[in-house]
Amino acid sequence: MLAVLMLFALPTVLPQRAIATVTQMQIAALFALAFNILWRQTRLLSFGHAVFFGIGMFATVHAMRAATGGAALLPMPLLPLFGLMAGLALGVIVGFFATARTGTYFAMITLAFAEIIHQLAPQWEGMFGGESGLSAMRTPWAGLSFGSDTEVYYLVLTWSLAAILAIHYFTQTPLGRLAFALGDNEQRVRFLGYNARLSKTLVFIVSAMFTGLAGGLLAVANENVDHSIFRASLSGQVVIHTFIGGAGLFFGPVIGAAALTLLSSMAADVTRLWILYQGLLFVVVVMYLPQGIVGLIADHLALGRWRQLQALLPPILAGLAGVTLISAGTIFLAELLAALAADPFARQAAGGIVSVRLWGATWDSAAPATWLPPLYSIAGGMVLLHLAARWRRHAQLSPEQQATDG
Amino acid sequence: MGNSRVDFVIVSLLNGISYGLLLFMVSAGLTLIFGMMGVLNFAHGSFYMLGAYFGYTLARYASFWVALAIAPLAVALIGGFIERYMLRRAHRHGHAHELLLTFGLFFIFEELVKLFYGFYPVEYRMPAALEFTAFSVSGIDYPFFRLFIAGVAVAMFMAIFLLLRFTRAGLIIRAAVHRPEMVEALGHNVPLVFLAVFALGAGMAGLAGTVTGAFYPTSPTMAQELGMIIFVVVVVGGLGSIEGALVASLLIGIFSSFAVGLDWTLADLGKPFGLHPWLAGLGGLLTVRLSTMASVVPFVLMLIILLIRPAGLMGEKA
Repeated sequence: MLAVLMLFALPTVLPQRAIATVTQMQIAALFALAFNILWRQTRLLSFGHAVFFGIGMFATVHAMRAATGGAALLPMPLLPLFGLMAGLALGVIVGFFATARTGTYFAMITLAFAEIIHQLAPQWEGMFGGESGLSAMRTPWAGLSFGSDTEVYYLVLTWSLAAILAIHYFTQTPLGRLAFALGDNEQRVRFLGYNARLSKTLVFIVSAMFTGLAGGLLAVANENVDHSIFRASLSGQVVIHTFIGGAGLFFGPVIGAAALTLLSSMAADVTRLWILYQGLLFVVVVMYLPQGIVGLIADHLALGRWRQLQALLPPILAGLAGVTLISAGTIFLAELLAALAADPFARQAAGGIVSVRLWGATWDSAAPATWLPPLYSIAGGMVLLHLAARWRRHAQLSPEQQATDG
Repeated sequence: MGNSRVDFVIVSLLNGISYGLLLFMVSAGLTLIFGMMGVLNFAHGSFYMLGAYFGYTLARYASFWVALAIAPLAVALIGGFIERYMLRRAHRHGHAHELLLTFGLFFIFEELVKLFYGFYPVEYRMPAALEFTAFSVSGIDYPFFRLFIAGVAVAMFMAIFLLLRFTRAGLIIRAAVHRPEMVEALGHNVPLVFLAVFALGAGMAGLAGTVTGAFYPTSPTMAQELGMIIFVVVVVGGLGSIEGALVASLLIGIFSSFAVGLDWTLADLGKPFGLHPWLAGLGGLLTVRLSTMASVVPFVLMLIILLIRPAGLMGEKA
């Protein structure tokens, strides 16, 4: 509740540029949440979800263009509903075929559909606008001109909150509970008499529907779209957002997507290696933190009282310090390597040894003082993490906590 | 007139076969890995790309022949490291996590290549000794290097075939592909087999990259471009089946090669019935040429196979 109030109050304290970023964060969060309906509940991994996002975006842009031309079917704030319906329609088609198989085959079917649509979209110029894409304009409604970022922010916020509530409600419905069961043990669900294929398709449609809605919101925010929205890397991005955040929790993808979108917009100006860092973080989370970062925090919060957390303070602090050291060392090394690799001619001219300017200081590529600090930092960080893990295991927990402890 | 059509067929056939053999070199490893471990290695295209880039670096400092010998080994080592220290840890959390891990690795490799070599293609050229024309077809010179690529692929296929069919290690590998638990129960070191197959598959993809990178552009997007199509090959051919991968690669290679040069459209189907003008008038999908749709057809084929016969053309029925 407090979080909702804070979100509504946000535009009063933030500069204009930041408001637009928070709007993007919300849309990414909704996209990830809709994607996770499939994974958290039915354990279906879709690698082609960008097509629903994209089709929702295109449908809404078409609706906005129609509205500007005078043929408005719905008031301007309700136009993302076209995105929702487009996602639903495409979800019926893809879902029907994809749910014929499970596991890796399911993922490959979604991948195939996504590639087909991605390749066909540039050819269908009437629908997808060819190379330059389609653009539209937000039309005024009920006295609001929707010209400012703030008004768009509130529109997107209202829709996002409504969608989050709707998705949460969905998890409580019989179909939603059935979806969890399907993810758990599909064969048992079938033996209980349910039509597993139909149920999976319905859940798929729900997921595609809300993804289309997210796309519609982005259409309203950006006012244009082109066929690159169907690209595989967007499908991949939502997977990364979801799992770094924590795919096992309802809010994991939301926080993961929001945080990564924010970091992305902040980091893109500072370093061109941001995608590398994101990939490294993703791989580390998949290997060592299957519950995601939010999952890790949630596990600690679930331990309840402050007194109990005190026992865990050493490992938590050591863990945080270790992570910080490893990150700092890795980033330093990567940026150093990138700076060195960027100018091979200077390197050749200088006989292989070159000085690099990074963060206001000059680093000599041949000096050990350049390479040793980051290496030590990474090594030290790993030692700290190892200690943190060992202290965690030996921490004095009360019996009731040991029961709740993962 | 007729002469040019025959030339088109010959050139397309040759190009198709050489492209198909390239696809085979990369997907042979993938199909073994998928068949054996159930892991769809998203990073397999990355191994191909790494082979090309390592080949580029080695060829610059030594020679193409050194690159040909060393680069695939380097990629195989990387593959072995990934299997031993990364995949096995992710395996504990389930199949999906292995998939996610290879997916993350694909991203990382692409970014690492961009970091070290830049965003643009690098100048990886074939050695001057191999840069000659094999023969001429209707005025078009057919480069020898294409035949060289095909030759390497065929040699690799023979080597793998002989290894799998006539050696004891090959027997164990084949058994582990189909029945890993049983093979382990019989006392063999199955984790070592997994490691060996993964490294071998990576090395084959790396070899393909080292050889082809000298002919085709070597750029950071190599992995993504090839990565999708080898999934199609593996699915269509059948998981775990080397022969299936060969058939599927040639099929897709020849089809892609022919389709790019043909301007048929769906509306043409109406020609014998006199319906062509009407169908062409409807526009939209009916008038899209085969040459532009060529890239989509393999995926439609993959979809059909996944839905009707997931075992693929030559895989065993699950």
